[in-house]
Amino acid sequence: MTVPTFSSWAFTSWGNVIRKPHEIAPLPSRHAAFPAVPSQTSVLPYGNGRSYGDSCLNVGAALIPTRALDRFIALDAASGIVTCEAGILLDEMFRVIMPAGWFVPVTPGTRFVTLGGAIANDVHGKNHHAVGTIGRHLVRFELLRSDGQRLICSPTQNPEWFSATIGGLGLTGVITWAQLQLRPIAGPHMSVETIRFANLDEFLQLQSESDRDFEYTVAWVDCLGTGSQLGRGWLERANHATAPAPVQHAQSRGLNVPFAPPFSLVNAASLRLFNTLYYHRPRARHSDRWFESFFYPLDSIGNWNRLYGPRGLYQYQCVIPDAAGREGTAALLEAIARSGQGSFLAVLKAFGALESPGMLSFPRKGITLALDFPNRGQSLERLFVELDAIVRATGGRLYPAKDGRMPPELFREGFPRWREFTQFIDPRCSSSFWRRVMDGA
Amino acid sequence: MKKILVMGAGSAIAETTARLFAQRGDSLFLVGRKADVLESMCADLRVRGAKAVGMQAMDANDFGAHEAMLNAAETALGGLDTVLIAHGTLSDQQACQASVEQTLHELNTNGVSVVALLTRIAARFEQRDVEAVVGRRRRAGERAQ
Repeated sequence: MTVPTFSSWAFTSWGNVIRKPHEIAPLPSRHAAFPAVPSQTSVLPYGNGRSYGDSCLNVGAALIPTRALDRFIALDAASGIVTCEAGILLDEMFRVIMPAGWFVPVTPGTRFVTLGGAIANDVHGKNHHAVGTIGRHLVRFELLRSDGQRLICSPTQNPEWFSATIGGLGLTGVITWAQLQLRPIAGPHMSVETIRFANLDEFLQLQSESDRDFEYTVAWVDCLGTGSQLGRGWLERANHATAPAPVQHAQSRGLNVPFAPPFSLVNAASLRLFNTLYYHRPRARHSDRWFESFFYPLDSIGNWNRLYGPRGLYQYQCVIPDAAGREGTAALLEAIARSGQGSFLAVLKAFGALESPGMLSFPRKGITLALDFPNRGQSLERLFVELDAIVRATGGRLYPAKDGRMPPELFREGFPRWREFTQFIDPRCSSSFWRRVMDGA
Repeated sequence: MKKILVMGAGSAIAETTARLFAQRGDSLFLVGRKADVLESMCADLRVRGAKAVGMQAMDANDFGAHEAMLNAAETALGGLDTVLIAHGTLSDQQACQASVEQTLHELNTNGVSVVALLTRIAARFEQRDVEAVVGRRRRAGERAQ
């Protein structure tokens, strides 16, 4: 039997809207050469597939799965600098760095992303106002190009490649390994305060008060609230607990959704019920929580995306620049409430002013709103078009990692450095997302 | 804290197992064909908590090198109390049917080399009061028609 070196497999992204076969271009180790593929086929690095739309897919062409690149290279326990291969999951990293007293400087809402994927999407977290995106905490990384070059990229070495690759959606080549400055923690617990707010103005007031004293802030908003209740919800603000405690990771992930039900369990009735109960539930103001329950509430339900049924889900995450933050966010929430197509998890967060080195980095000073919607086809797209118009009028933009449908003009207006970015794209790299947003350019 | 020799360390099952050993603070000596793979594994296992890690690049079919390799492993770890044998190949049945040379090569890799190693290891373990554990994994090489 000959072991195939170029085979085909069905890949999807977290939204489950697209599931298509891709050729596989293997990269067995960080020392291996850039995979050889037929000259007319483009390739795209693929980590753990946690992007929601088509930014991690390359339909009709090839993917370079990177999960096999999951070795640590070094951990300096004194300075908190970790060096590891780019296919390692944050979850795997935690098992080593946390007992040593360190935590990642920035984490997205799931710990099942690869380090390379976190860089390629320049992820942000609940502490964006305090520390910015992950790109600000990278010491250096190696970029493997299809011509065989291995570029060490840092703020001072190949800085233009550093800037293009952070938030570069995997298009500049393969990140083989990266070095990250961690942040010290006393233990694995979080000291959390949970406060209810009655509307958007209260949220803004609470958020600006909280940003001074809390490293992490995030709000859940009931997107079915209207009128004086528009933008009501809960704010969570937290710091790492100062008391040391042993780090004991659960061996199993607990609940799991084993298959997609034939229709979405997220519908108008379940949404209204959930949102109302969730808003009114009594909650203790202070709590001491295990870090996973604070950062990753959804990770405790394996494959929660399947609840949205076989047609999958779309996420809509935008940022409204500061000047228009209040009005823009209100307009978005009003449009969503009118449509009746609410979201279980509408997340509201104020981004800070710290800039990322990333050329196509998404966060900027302002308010970000993130929502999940079951894929209802045309009626959902009509709502999205309405939301797009609001985002566009405020000079805002959508997050490519979450997107599967934004119009090309919205991308190019929102990310004005796209033209500069194109000169850093590897000639062999492409993605479904990139072809879509470059249409007509 | 065990002192463990891992043969065929670059295989997926051996690497995953070695990580579990490392997490509990064992000492490991890795043997495989590719030096660059072994080197990056050594670094990884150190970060994961291995007390000591050593390595040697060797082809299991180089029977003459076995004794020196075992000596090196014992020296590096200060003894040896567990061996995991995980080397092997996924044989190409058709190629073997067409070539006696290929067939013998596969038999050496997946059979004779293991016997050779076990013979030497058993002799060493018998001489001492060792908690002898020898793991052996069968590969999917028996997928003949």
